[in-house]
Amino acid sequence: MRVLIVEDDVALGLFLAKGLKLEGHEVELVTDGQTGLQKALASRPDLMVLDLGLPQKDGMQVLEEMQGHLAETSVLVLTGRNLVQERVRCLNLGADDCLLKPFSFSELIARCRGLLRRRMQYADPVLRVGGVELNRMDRSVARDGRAVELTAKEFALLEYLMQARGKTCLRSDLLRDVWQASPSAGTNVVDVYVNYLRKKLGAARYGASETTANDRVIETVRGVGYMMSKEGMDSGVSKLVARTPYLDGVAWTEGRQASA
Amino acid sequence: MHKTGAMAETDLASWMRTAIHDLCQPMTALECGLFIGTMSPDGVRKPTAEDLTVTIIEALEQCGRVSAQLKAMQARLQTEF
Repeated sequence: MRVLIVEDDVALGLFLAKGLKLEGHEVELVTDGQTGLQKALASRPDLMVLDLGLPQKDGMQVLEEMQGHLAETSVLVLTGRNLVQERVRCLNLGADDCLLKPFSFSELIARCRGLLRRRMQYADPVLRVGGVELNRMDRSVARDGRAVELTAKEFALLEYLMQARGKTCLRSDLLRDVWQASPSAGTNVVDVYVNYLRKKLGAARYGASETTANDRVIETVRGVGYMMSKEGMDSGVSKLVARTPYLDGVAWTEGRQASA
Repeated sequence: MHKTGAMAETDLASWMRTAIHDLCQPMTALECGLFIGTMSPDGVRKPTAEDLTVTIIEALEQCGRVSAQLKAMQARLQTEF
């Protein structure tokens, strides 16, 4: 999901951006209300995390000016002022939720998930390409109806490739948007993770012992990057079982190393 | 100079509201920063000792902001009473 953070406290903004990126979201951070409003109207994010006390244009003004223009964007307001009237005003101006500072990151994440879940009830949350189904609401993946268990990073990579189906995804773009790494970083982490995905998706179709050499659901664009083909896009309903966990505090996967 | 009565209380209450708001900023950054520091940096591996050192240094910076704000609040209370 695309998240826009509007927070003038740079340290807090950077922490929130880092945490939401680790959760697998595409994040942009701005530090004043005017820029936040412009970015929101231009890029129409799925979620806006909006501080109230902002320079140039405060959060309340941003909400007022967004009214009627960004129905598809959920807004979570952050406030350090414990005034009921203020929170009521925010909600009346179109905010979907308010969170009082200080808050824990786990609560912020839970509220973001709740907002995105509600938002996705009105849109089809399932991406489908070539027998692969990825459900962004319950974070499950299936190939030909068989559940595929992915790590959070594998899920984020597959989601990115499926959203761009039919288009080539450059390695540098994948590094930047999925790993938040410098596009010039000398690493083969993208290739390693594409290989993980191919093996898991191939195993669901052909069985773990079968070769996946002929499984072209993720195509290599030689010297450039990767692409999921438009061929085989389908809309069949599959039984989805396995779910990819979010990256909660200690939910890392043991025993896996990406060569960098 | 010491203020007395309702006026002083109103001034102090207003100042305290702002001070508490300013205290909430580094407190939130501290709490979120420490939590995020426990998360896997890439979705696979545990945070390394180096990762945790960075988290601690960033947390100490936020502790510095919290301390500075608390000192300002203590000083104001000493002035008032």
